Amino acid sequence: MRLIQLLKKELAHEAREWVDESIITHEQGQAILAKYGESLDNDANKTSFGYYLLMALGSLFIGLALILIISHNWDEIPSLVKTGVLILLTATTNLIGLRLYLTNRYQAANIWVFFGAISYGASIMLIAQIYHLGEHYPDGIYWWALGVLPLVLLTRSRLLSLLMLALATIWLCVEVGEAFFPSSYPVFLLSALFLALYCRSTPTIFVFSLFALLVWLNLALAWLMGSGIHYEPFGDLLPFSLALGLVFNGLAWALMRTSNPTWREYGLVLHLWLLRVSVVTLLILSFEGIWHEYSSESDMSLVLSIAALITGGVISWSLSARNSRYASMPAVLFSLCFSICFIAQAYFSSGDMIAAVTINFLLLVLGISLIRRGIEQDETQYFYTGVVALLATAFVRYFDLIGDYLGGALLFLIAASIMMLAARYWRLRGQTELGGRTDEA
Amino acid sequence: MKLNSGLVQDTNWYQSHTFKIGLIVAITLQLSVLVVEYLGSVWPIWTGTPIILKTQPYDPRSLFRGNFVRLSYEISQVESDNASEYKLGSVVYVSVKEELNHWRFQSISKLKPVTGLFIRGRVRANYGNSLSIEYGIEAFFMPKEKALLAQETLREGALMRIFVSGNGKARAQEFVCQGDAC
Repeated sequence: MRLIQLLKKELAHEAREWVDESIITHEQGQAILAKYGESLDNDANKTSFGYYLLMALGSLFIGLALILIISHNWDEIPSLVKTGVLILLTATTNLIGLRLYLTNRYQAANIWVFFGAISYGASIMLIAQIYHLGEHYPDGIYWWALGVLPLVLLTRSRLLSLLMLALATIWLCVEVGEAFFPSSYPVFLLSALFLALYCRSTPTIFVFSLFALLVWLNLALAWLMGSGIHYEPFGDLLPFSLALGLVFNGLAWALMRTSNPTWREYGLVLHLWLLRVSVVTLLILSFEGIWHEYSSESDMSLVLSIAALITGGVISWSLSARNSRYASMPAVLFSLCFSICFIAQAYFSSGDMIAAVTINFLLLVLGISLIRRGIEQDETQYFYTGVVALLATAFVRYFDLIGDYLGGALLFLIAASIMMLAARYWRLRGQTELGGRTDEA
Repeated sequence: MKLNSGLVQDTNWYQSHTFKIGLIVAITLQLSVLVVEYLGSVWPIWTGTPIILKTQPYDPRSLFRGNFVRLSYEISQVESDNASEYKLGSVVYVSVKEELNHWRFQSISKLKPVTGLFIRGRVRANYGNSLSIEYGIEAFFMPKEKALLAQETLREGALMRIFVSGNGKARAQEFVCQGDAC
């Protein structure tokens, strides 16, 4: 899977020029773009998309103005009139949307239904204001998101889907802030995932939903540890999250193998985000102090977390083994290194240092592997990520020494040796392959 | 279902009976939520018993909800010998009785009382023998200037008219006072 998948719009633009300049035929242009789920004719929608976006933002601003106007005229308008106007506005905007769908004006219909969804939410909040409802206020946001959900599934509108996800996520935050558990949050995420996978191309929604699911699972585990009545975050949330990250990595590679261009794009976007997140996570875990503060709650939860890490690694490996060694090897390596870290930290007196050193070497291996992958596959993204990972490791280790000055110097020397040996091995292998090819020729 | 359908696929979907009926049901659902919210709001006022509770307004806020004063009632903190037995978030019924010009706490129960006037609430915290309870009448929405005025002029305490329905649901109606903020 090449990064060009993410530049398919630019590729389509270039291909149109190649066709215009008769460098390639129209059929060839179509055949090239079809590989990436694009077409020579898609550009016609560009202007209407701009119109669509501005109209949608306009609807949002009208919705915000609506809340402010009615809030301002608090005393002047009778309660019943205010409530009636709000319900009537919600009904009217939605019915206009329905009528536009029935007359095949889909973009305008989407805008009106979106405006209807804003009116609906504003109505919930304002009715609560009018009648001084002091009940658990996140419920208002929840009912807003829930009311938008069927419209998302029916209209398959990305705009409504983003609104629903934003509302559901705000609800998650305020619900957690009020010390309650947002048990039905995955319903919104799964609906958004359904839309992304089966109805519309929306990589942002796809990746957001998966990362949000990871956050929710962490909250669920903390809630369960608090006997299901309060949150009790515990140390072993970290290995469980890392295990899920490994599974997501396998999923990304599996998606990149599919024949569906949209799913391939999703896989690539997910893979790139996981790569960035993993570099940052490893850099954080590379500090000895982090491991010193980390503590596992009990032997049983440690065993379960190690089991989760190994299971995550195996699932990731089995999902990615058919792609290439660049895909499957990190799964095994990460799973193994993380397991070593958590076991060492729990059972050895110098466990903090063992864990920090292990993560530092994992960073080195990741950096070297990314540089090599970048050069072999002609992908600058991987090459520079690898360089950044190695430079960042050197930078943070220079200021935060593991095992004092001599320990730090030793770490740098070992790291330098590994990199030089990797470079030497790479060069020798390249010469062997070149020789082999020459012989064959 | 085809994967990643484009506009052609959408057109077929938008013209289907499932879509049309589904959209009507979805719109009806939204309107039903609003109507139920409205009826739930006014039902205690239409059918309930008016009582007066002592309260203290403080800290006007405007996040998500608009401007309001937060109300802390005498019955927001109650004493109970078995406070630890009340789980956080659980429903409780607080019986009240009239004394002089307002109603005061009488008893608390996990079960709905058979007689007397009671308010339905939820446990939000428990400290030792003290329970913190919310009744859904803790917010009183006002324009910002009035909310600030209410906080300043009624700092020493105010009386609030509350309607309580037969099932204990309470709804705040108005301040009972002579100040500029009322």
